[in-house]
This record gives sequence, structure tokens and C-alpha cells, in this order.
Amino acid sequence: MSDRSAFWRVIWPYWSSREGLGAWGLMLLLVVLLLARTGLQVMFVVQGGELTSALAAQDAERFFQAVTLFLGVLVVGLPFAACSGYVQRKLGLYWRVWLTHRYLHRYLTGSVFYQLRQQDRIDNPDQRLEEDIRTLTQESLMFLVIALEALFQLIGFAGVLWLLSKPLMGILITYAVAGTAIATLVFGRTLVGINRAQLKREADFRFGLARIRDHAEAIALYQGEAQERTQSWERFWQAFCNFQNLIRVQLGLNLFQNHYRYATFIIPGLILAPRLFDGDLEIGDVTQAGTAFNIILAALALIVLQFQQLTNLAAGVQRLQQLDGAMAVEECRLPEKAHRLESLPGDASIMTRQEAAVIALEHVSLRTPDGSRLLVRDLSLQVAVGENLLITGPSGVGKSSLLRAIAGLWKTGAGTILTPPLDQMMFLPQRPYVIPGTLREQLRYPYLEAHPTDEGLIQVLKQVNLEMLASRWDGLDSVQDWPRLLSPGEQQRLAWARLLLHQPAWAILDEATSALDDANEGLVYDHLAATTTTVISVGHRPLLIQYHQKMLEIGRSQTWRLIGGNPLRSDADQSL
Amino acid sequence: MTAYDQSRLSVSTPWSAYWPLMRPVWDAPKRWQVIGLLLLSVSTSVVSSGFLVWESLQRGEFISALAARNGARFQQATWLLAGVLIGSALLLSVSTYLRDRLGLIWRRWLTRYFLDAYLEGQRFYRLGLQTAVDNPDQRIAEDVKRVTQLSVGMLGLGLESGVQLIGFLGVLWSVSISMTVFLGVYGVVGSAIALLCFGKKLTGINAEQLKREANFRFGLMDVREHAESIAFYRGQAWEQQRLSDRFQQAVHNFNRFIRWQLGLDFFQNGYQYLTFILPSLILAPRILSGELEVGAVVQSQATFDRIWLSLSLIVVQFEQLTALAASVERLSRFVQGLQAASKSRQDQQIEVITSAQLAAEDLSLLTPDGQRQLIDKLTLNVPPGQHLLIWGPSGVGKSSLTRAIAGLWSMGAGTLYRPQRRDLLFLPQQPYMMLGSLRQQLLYPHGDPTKDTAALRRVLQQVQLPELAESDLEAIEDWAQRLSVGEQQRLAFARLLLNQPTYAVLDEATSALAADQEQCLYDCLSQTPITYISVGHRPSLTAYHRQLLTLAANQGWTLTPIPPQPVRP
Repeated sequence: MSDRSAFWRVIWPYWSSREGLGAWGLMLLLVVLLLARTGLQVMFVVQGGELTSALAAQDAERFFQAVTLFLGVLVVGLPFAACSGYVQRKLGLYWRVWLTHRYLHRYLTGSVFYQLRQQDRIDNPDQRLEEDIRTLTQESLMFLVIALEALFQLIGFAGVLWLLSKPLMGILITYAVAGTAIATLVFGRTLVGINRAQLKREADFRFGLARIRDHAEAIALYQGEAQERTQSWERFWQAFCNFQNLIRVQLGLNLFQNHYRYATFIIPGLILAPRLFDGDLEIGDVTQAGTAFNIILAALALIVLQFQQLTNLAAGVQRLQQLDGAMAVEECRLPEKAHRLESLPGDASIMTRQEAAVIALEHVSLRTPDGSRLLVRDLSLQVAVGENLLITGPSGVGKSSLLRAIAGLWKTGAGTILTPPLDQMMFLPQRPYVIPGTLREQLRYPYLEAHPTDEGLIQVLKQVNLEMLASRWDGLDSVQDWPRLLSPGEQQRLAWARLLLHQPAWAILDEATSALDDANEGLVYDHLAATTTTVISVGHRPLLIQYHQKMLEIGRSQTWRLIGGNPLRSDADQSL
Repeated sequence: MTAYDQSRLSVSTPWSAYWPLMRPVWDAPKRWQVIGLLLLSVSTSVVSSGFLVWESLQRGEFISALAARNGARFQQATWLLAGVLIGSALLLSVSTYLRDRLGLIWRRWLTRYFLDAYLEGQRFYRLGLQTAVDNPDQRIAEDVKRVTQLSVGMLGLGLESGVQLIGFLGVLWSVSISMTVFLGVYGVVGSAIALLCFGKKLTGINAEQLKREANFRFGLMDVREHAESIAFYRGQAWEQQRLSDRFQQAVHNFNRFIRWQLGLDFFQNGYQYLTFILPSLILAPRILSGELEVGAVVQSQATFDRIWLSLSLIVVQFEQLTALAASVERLSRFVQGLQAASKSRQDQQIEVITSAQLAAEDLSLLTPDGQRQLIDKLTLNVPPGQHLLIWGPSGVGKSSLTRAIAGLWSMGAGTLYRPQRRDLLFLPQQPYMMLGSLRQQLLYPHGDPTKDTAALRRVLQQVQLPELAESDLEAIEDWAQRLSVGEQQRLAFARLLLNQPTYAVLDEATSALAADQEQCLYDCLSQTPITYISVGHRPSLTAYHRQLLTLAANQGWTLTPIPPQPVRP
């Protein structure tokens, strides 16, 4: 499969990182523990056979010697057996921590998460980040441990068996290879596919349910319960049908596996019987050979016996690969690497971005991300410091999309966009985004490094008429479910409080006052006007005009008109 | 975050918690099919365990025959063993299959039950108002799956263990009575230690782990849902820290888990390895004296192993059992939450009377927690055609009033007269786009699915969505992503025109539209027989309404009639 290298791209990074050094140390420890464990196991089997032989020979002295040895081995071996489990889990946890941090970081760098959502190429990234990483780290380590143990056992017990009977060894190998081949070829492909589909369908089902929770109010108002129920049920039904397939295929696999396993109880006895009857071997040798045969077979037929876990693991790894691949594609488009993209064929229609002290668009034609629809044609304008711009136009002509282009989220189109560095601009999106957490965090968002004083926070809350929030829900530091508690108007004012607190050089407001009444709208714009922030607003209401010096009117059929100069107010009043 | 109540958890989940989870299957229409499957599954489990006992006896016989170097006996033992093995493997596979099927059917009915209960009578909305039940989606999707699969699995294991225990004890009794007694004591003591020392602790830790993982996952879902807002704010660093915090909590708990697991491993390993040697030690005197054959040791070793497995079911299946107990707990809380959500406090309720007209009498409205009064003694009447406009500063309770009309918020006093809920359509402030085709989108929530396509296209033209009107109505897309908020609001308006309710409540349903678009939509609306109540800010809206309700910040209100005025062409 060509996926092999991608497979390693998911697995390998941790082991080649700096933290990976410690991980290799732990791995080494794990290997040593496993080696010790296997060694003890070999001794157990040998001593167990000795015990049986001694009993059969009715030799009391030999029996007690064997018992003493057995107990000695047990005392020494116990810590190894228990500790290997601990080291394995610990290592898996370290790996998961590292991988989760790395993927989270990549997911939330630049606008990767946004682009992934927009393109909808990757379903359920949250499941991949939580569940699949957990499965990958835990299961692959578990599998590695089983495989290593199998290898050691193979070496240890192969010696035992070789000494006892060479034909038995030959039969064993043939049996194991044949079993593995059948399981992989007959059941392998089918099961991997079904398992992968199952993961996706379960996640779809859950995502649908999470949506209901998130949009509970809208659905309740619409009385859309019946619809939602039908849809959720439909999605569950998909998972259900697939699972039915899964258990049917598993029945086949089980039938094969069980017979395969049970046959081993009888094979060593059958083969060794003639030599035993000849007096060539003792009965203890037969029980030893039986145990050795079973263990070696388990080692050789690892894939057959661990099939379910393996397919699960493969499905999880594949989902992570897809996420990894999609993120890698998006990372290529990040600003610092954007030049690489222009050389790609078929992607020629990307707008150029440059850094400048002003916000300016030069001959910008903006398209939707899939390139199918032209929204604005050949737009040129410049917004200098202190020169506020208002963008108006009927809904659906692409006002918000223009802001997306300025923010660098949408890139398809032509022309050049000049903006100050992104950290000097603050965007207030149309849907106020209210984070869960304390009021203080709410206001500090999205600047991690900002640590405003309590007075400063209370003051901005006063400015947007929200000072009662602090008193109503005991202070700045109580954790509340804000998205639920605040009305959209309050949420928008909270967003304004953020803006007034951080006072960025540039503010880009997408209908940021749509849920406010005129008085409150005037109030927040008045406060903003008192700062040095330059504003680009998208809005409909005539009241907004007095706060802006320029107006861009976007019309249907990709036309636009720029109205400038200071007598904007009287001029524009008539046009609205 | 609600503190997890550890004291209510134990490994042995009370029957009372289980019963509500089994009811849905019991009440299912094809009950007899399920019962039949259950009986079949139980009987195959029992028979296959019987075969297992027989098989271990035959293995002992096989070894004894070898040790005795008796050719004829060996041949006979071989044939018998082969037959038993084939039967045993067959039965084992079939009983696993039946068990899986049973679990799946149970899951099906239980999911159906929870979906119905969750989506009925606005419970999903009310559950969101309380914090007692977190992540209902996880409960319905994952906990149901886990409970059904694991309980069926545990039932099978328990049955098999029970049958094997009886069978093997019988075998062992015939070999050595003292060993049987010893083994019984050994098994009981071991299970007790595992249960008391490790059981309680690990159950709590496991339950906590589930919760923390769910929190982390929910944080991730949040990012996906609000991707655009976060991208605009460039809140990535913030989100990253928040998610890392949640993840760290899960890691922290998992560390505790593996420390306790280490202790359990020590105990379990030692316990199990000892079983290797104990039968030989106990039987040694009798074999050495020639009283027993050596095959008896092999037999009783296998027996010992099996009995230990049966007795220590709880210890060996520990992780599964704790996961099961935690899931049952989460589901039974969910059931309780659902029941509580349908009951509400009687003392401070708004009285709702169904009538042809929408009206309010001395209506006082409180927030759902009863903490804050929003509106004091509101009286108004909205007869057909007397469209009402609600004004007021942001945060004063305009949307809350529409929630009260919808029956979502019910805390307060006074009387509300309103038509039947299906004659009332709400357009919420945040347009909701369902997952599905454009046709489904338009007919949401209860339009006639057979409505002809031309009518749908005409309405799309009416609400000025000509591009959508010409597109394929059956195409399934992520509409919330594809359409701008303004377009979504117009689509919501199209729903209104298609559904033709008696009354419509529009909560800032045109806030993202330009003034001329808004006028066009209201022009369309005023030509229909729909009586509408709007919440809005723009003065231009007054032309389309007959009454104006102004809400003030001090819970006061004024109601003024709007004289009919010629609508601007």
C-alpha cells in the first residue's frame, strides 16, 4: 500500500522528537521487563513439565525440588510481570500527551481549523483528536508489547520444542502460516472496511446529537423535534445496519479462530504419541510440548488472534492520517509558505497579500472558496488611519466575505490585499462568540498575554452597559455558561467590551451591533470613537453613517460604489 | 462542572438503575422475538459451558491414556476429544454471535427510547437550562452502546462462569474434596480483596475519566462549531490553552488510574501464578502414593484455572465492569434528568390557556432559575391582523417574552392565552439551518413534504433568493456554512411563507438584512393572513404593525396603537 509512508508520518514523529529520547528509554525498560517475563515463563513451563513428570514417576524428592524452584521463579518473576503493564500504560500516556499537544497546536495554528471546517473534507476532527489518538497510542503500544512478547516466546519456546520434536516444529510453522494467510485474505479486508465505516457512522450520529444540544433553542422554537428525531434515527440506523454486517463477518472469523485454536489441544499429543509409546519420551515432555506449541502458535498467529484489535487500530491510524494530510495541505497555505502554492497548477487564482500601514484593496476580485461564484469584481479602495469605512449593501452580496478576505480566511480570487499585521487588527464576527469560563477570561479573549486590572475590566463593562453582569453572577471570576445566560444583544456588547479593552489599531466589525437598539449602538460607537482605533464596519442602519468617513456600497451583480469625503452624512442619508 | 458524587457509585449497580434501561426492549413491539433471542442465547451459553467442562475432562483422559501408554484407550480418547472440540468451537462462536445480536437489538430500542424522550416536549431545551446532565449526546451515542454491549457480554460471562463453576466443582469434588474446599476459600478471599481494596477506588476513577474525556471532546466540538468566529478573533492560542487544560485534567486522572492499576496487577498476577502450582501441591501425596493417575493433575489444573476465572470474574473483568457501572450511572441520571425536565415547579408557573387569540393578562416573567424578574404584569391582546411590534433596549427581555409565548420559559405569574402550538411559528434570532436538502430546509419544521417544487421555487423568488430558486432542491449541503446569515434569515422567512401558520413570532428575524430587503419581506408577509409579532429595532418596521409594545429596563412596559399609515411603495 502507498499509505505506508503516511502511516509512519503519524507514528514516527514522537519517537524522533526530543521527548522521544525519554520514550526510547522507557521502551528499553519495557523490552527488558518483557524479556525477563518471557524468560520466567519458559522456566515455568519447563518446571511445570518437570513437576508432572516427577509426579508420574512417583519420585517425591524430584517433585519437591521442582516445587521449590517453581516458587522461587514465581517470587522473582512477579514484579516483572506487574511492572511491565505499568510501564506500558505510562509510555502510552506520554505518547498521547505529546501527540495531542502537537495535533492541537497544528489544528489551531493559522486558520487550519477554519479551512477544514469550511471544506468539510475531514469529518469529525474532534473525534480524531480525542478518541483516535487515544486508541492509536494505547492500542499500538499494546500490540507492540504483544508482538515483542510473542517474538521472545517464539525464541524461547522454539528451543524447547526443537529439542523435543522436529516434525512438530515443522507442522507448527505450516499451521501458523496457513491460518494467518486465511484470516488476512478472507476476513482482513472486509473487516477493516466495515470497522472504518462504523467509526464514521457512530461519529456522525453523535455529531447530529451534539448539534441538537447546541441549537436547542432554535429547534424548540421551530418545534422541529419530529424532524430532528427522524434525522437522528436515520443516522443511527446507518450505524446499526453496518454493525449488523460487522457481527455477521465476525461470526465467520470466530468460527475459524475457535476451531483453529482448539485443534492445537490435540495436535502435539497425536504427533508425539508414537514416541511416547516407544518409551522415547516422558509424559511431562508431552505436556511441555503442548504448552510450547500453544504459545508459539499464539506468537506466530498473532495476526489471526488479535485481528479485531488490529483492524480497530488500522482504522484509527487511517483517520489520523487523513487529518494529518488535510492539516498539512492547509499548513502549506499559511502565509509564510504561501509562495509555494503559487507554483501549483490550478491554484493560480489566489489573492496576493502584503503588509502595509493601511488597509487597502487593489483590483480585488473575490470568489467563494470553491471558486464557483464571483462576489466582488475589481474592487480598489484604501482605508488610512483614522478614516473609518462603512460597508453596506443588500444581504448576500458578499460583505462578510470581503471581511473574510481581509482576515485572510478566504483567498480565492485575484488582486492584492494590503493589511497591517494581523495582530494589530481585531475582528468582531457577526455571531458573537462567547467562550465558556469566567467573565475575566471572557473579556481578555483572545489575548492570552493581556492582564488588565479589575478597574479596567469594570470600566469597559460600564461603557457597554453591562456592569450588572459582574454583580449578577458574583464577580469577575465565577464560571458561568455565558452563551446560555446572555441574550444576543448582551453577547454583542460583551464583544464590544473586548474591543474597548484591547483598543487595537484596527477594528473590523461585521454587523457587530445588529442585535442592539439605537441607544446602545450609539453608546458603543461613541466610546469607540474616543479611542484611536480605525474602524471598518459592515452594517445596515443609517445611524452608523455618522461614525464613518467613507462608505462602500456593494450592489448585486458584483458592482460597487465608493462614497467618500466628509459630507458623507447628508449625501448618504438620501441614498438609504 | 458538577462534582461527581462518588458515594453513589458501586460496582454492583442496583437493579433499580437497570430496569428503566431494559423497559424499552420490554415495551418494544417485537418483544417475543427479543425474548426468544435471549432464551436462545442463554441456552447456547449454558450448553457451550457444559461442553467446556466435558472438554477439560477429555483432555485429562487424553493425557492419562498417553501416560498409561495404552494404544486403544488413546485412540478412543482422541476421537472423543476431537468431536468435543469441534462442537465446543461451534457453540462458542454461535453463542458469541447471538449475544452480539441481542446487544445490538437492545441498543436499537434503547436509542429509540432516549431519542424520543430527549426530543419530546422541549426536554432537550430544558435539559440545557440545568447543568445536572452534561453531554446528552455522549450519553445517547456512547453510553447506550457501552451499556448494551457490556451488559449482554457480562450476562453471558456470568452465565458461563456459573455453569462452569458448578460443572468443574463437581469434577473437582470427585477428585479431591479438600481441594474443592480450599479452592472455594481461595477464590472468595481473592475476589473480596480485589473488590474492597481496588474496586471502589477504580470505579470512581474510571467514571471521572469518562467525564473528563467528554469535557475535552466537547471543547473540541465547540471549536469546530464556532470555527469562523474563532478564526476572526484569532483566538487560536486561547483555545489551545483551554483545550490543553481540559486535556491535562484527563491526563492527571489517568495517571491516578494507572497507579492503582499497578497495585491490582501485582495482586492479580501473583494470585494467578499461584494457581499453576497449587493443584500439584495438594494432589501430590495421593499421586506419589499411587492412588491417582497423573492425568488427574492436568484435569484439576484446568479445573482450578476455570474455577478461578469464574470466581474472579469481577477481578478479571474489572475495567469492563467499572466502565459499565459508570455508564449505567450516567444513563440513569439521564433518565432522571429527562423526567425532571418534564415536571416543573408548580408554585411560580405562568398559566397557559389555549384559545384562538394570542393574549396576556397580568403576565410577569422570571428567568428559569427564578432569580430575576424581567417583565411585570403585562397585559396585551393580539387579535387577528393586529400585528404587534416589540421594542426595547438590548437585554431587557424581548426574546425572553417570545420564549414565554413558546412555552420554553414558564416561571412567573399571570395568564397567557395562545393558540395551539402548531398554529404558531417562531423565527428565532439565530437562524437554524438543519442538516439536509434545500427542500427539507424549506419545509422545516412541519411543511407538507409533497408540496410541489414550483411552489417552493416561487417562494424562494419571493424572499429574494433567486440563485437558490434555480438550484437543485434535493442537494444536501452544510447550509449553515454555505449561506450568509442574511441569506439564512431569508430562507427562514421562506419557511414562514410556506408553513402559513395563524400566528408568527419573528425575533429579530431580519436583523442581517438591508432595509429594502426587509421591507420586501414584510410586504410579502402582510399580504398573507398571518398575524405576526416582531421583535426589532428599526423604525421602518412600525409601518407594518398595528401595536407597539415598548419594554423598559425597570421591568415596565407601554402598549401603544400604531395608526394605519400608507406603506411606502
